Amino acid sequence: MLDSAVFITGGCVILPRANAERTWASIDMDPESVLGPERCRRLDPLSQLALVAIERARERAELKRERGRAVAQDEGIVVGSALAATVTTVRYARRLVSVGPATTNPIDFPDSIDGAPAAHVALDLGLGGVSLTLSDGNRSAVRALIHAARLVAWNRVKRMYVVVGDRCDPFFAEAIVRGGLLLKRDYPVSVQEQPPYPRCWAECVLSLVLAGRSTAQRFTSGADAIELLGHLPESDLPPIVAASAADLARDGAALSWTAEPLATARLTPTGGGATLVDPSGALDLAAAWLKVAGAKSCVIGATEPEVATPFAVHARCGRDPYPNLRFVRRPGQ
Amino acid sequence: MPADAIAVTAVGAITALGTGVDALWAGLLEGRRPFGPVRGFDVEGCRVQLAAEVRGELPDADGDRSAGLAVVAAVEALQRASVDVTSGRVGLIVGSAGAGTKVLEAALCDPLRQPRDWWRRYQKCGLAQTVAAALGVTGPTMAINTACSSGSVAIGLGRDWLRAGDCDQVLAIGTDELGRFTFTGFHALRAMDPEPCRPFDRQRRGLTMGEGAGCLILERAVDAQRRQQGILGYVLGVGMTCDAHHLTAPDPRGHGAARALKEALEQADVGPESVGFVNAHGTGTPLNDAAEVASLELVLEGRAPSCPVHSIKASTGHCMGAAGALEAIVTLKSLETGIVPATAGLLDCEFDARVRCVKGRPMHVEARYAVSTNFGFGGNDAAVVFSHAR
Repeated sequence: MLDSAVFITGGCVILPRANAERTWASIDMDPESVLGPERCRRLDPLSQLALVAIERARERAELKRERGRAVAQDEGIVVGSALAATVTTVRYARRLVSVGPATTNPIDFPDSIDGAPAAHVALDLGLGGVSLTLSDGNRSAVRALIHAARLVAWNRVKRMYVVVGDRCDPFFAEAIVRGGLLLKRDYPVSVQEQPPYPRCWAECVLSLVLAGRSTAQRFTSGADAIELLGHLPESDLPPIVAASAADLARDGAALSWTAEPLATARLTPTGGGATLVDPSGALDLAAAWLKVAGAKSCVIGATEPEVATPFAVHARCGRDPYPNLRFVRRPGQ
Repeated sequence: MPADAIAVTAVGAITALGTGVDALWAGLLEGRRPFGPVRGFDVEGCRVQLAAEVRGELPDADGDRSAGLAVVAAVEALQRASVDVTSGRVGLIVGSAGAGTKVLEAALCDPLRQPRDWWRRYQKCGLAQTVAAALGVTGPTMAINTACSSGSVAIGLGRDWLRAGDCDQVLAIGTDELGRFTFTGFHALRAMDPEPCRPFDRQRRGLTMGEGAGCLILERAVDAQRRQQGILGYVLGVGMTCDAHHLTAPDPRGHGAARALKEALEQADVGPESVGFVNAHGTGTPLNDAAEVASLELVLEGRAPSCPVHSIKASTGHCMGAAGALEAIVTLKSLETGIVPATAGLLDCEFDARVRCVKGRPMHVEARYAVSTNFGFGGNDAAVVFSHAR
């Protein structure tokens, strides 16, 4: 459990859309529409999406950009990603393989490093605290959130930004699909498809803004607060998908849980669906978060944009879904 | 000593100086510089063709050289500590800057000959999982990439896992093979010296790449003391910050690095005047060395001109993600023996009046506390404060 309260004051989920030309569900929003071409220039697409997601999450957290702000020594970022900056990495590697070692592109190399998305967010916001990129396969998302939450709970930082997910170069995406990760048939599927739906690889990016109680109270004006209740060791309890305050009140216990799988997403305009899987576990985390987030979260890429009630995706990778993160909505502060 | 101090109970290493911590230490004391033409891949046409490569066979860790290096270092450490890796209570964190790039190159060269699941080996966590499988570790694993500070950050995260109770012991490993992807990247940035690097020297022109791995076994100090486990030293503080200045260039004022150092010293409850010596990042690039000295002056203040500072990269090469782990091991050896190796090849130190560069021959330093610093692309700064075991 966390030592002291950690609140999520804002979030943003960037979801994939159905794409008839591809056998995976990819994010197709254009970051330039949010950031502008100058801010996107030379950045790996994952870095671009990280900036978009953070920008929207900060809006929900009622944080305004301050011009000329000094480096914030007590704010940091953690990125959890299974594959990191694949587009730039593939581009750099392709040139290396085809042209040879002496004429590689010096502009691409720095943006190919795994830590580039975290670095760009830190540069953009002036974050002087920890800047970390970690990976644990389909647990990357929850690892990142847990570590960020601990830093807040331990009072090492005032605010932490978390970005999790992947944005794949088609070379990778096709390899994952061809490699038989999950796909039993082509996606998207028809309206006649019945559960259990075929599993389909998908992209997702989620960002969250974490803060301790006093910081959260200063920046959220009376709206409900979402508290992160921390996690328990995997062996102690069955997986908890999500919890709401209502669930806890109904069950009358501090550790209420449900193993009920989430609804399957409707990603095709004509209906049908698929069970979506992403390599970092970001969809799992996004699903749990959206159960309670309400207006605290921006959702980009949903079939119904800016949904008032969160819709959820059912996401499962080869290993069990996550251990036991619980988000609870607290009454207005 | 802080109540949550972390003990280092065993270490292991492999570099171009040889296999094992003893080979590393002996090579540093002798001032050896095992640099030679790159043999592992084609560097035709490159202005720089020099590196410090590990010689000899490595264990076959799923064909992954970085994993093989890590296994060698970890096996040495495990032989010296009482650790049941199969207990589920031993964690493994691997810091690496270049993991997965070789797999990608192979897939681009010859996609039809790759295993269908080649992309799994590209996954950033693949390296940690391969090493864990080779060692039989069944506890939590994680991979981190903060570029050249990855090894130090692995120590910091290991400390956090122990503090949180996720596990009882942690193998904090930094590893990186000499990879074509990273070599050509630094070459393209013109960050490499055509001659062997000269950290802190007035004539320095860049870094020289190396390869290797370092492993530190960490345990809560109270547990190690209760078990009467041999202790090599203590991790008292780990500072991790970001310059937020530039993607590749360090903040020339040294502010971000200074914050990391201050944070580590505050956690350790050690004042600047008590820092016995600094095992510096010291890459040999004009920008890094200057920024690093600036950061040391900011934090050490009056202590700076008399504080011994050295860099082992002049002998091991810049081992990227492995650097922080290797330098931590050397820092512990220096605390144990009271000897700080000289920075090999350093003739004319640019910063003589500002810090006390160790050059020419090893220096005898009786110190209780020491600092190891590492910085990486993205403005990642890390500083670790160690104390001796006495």
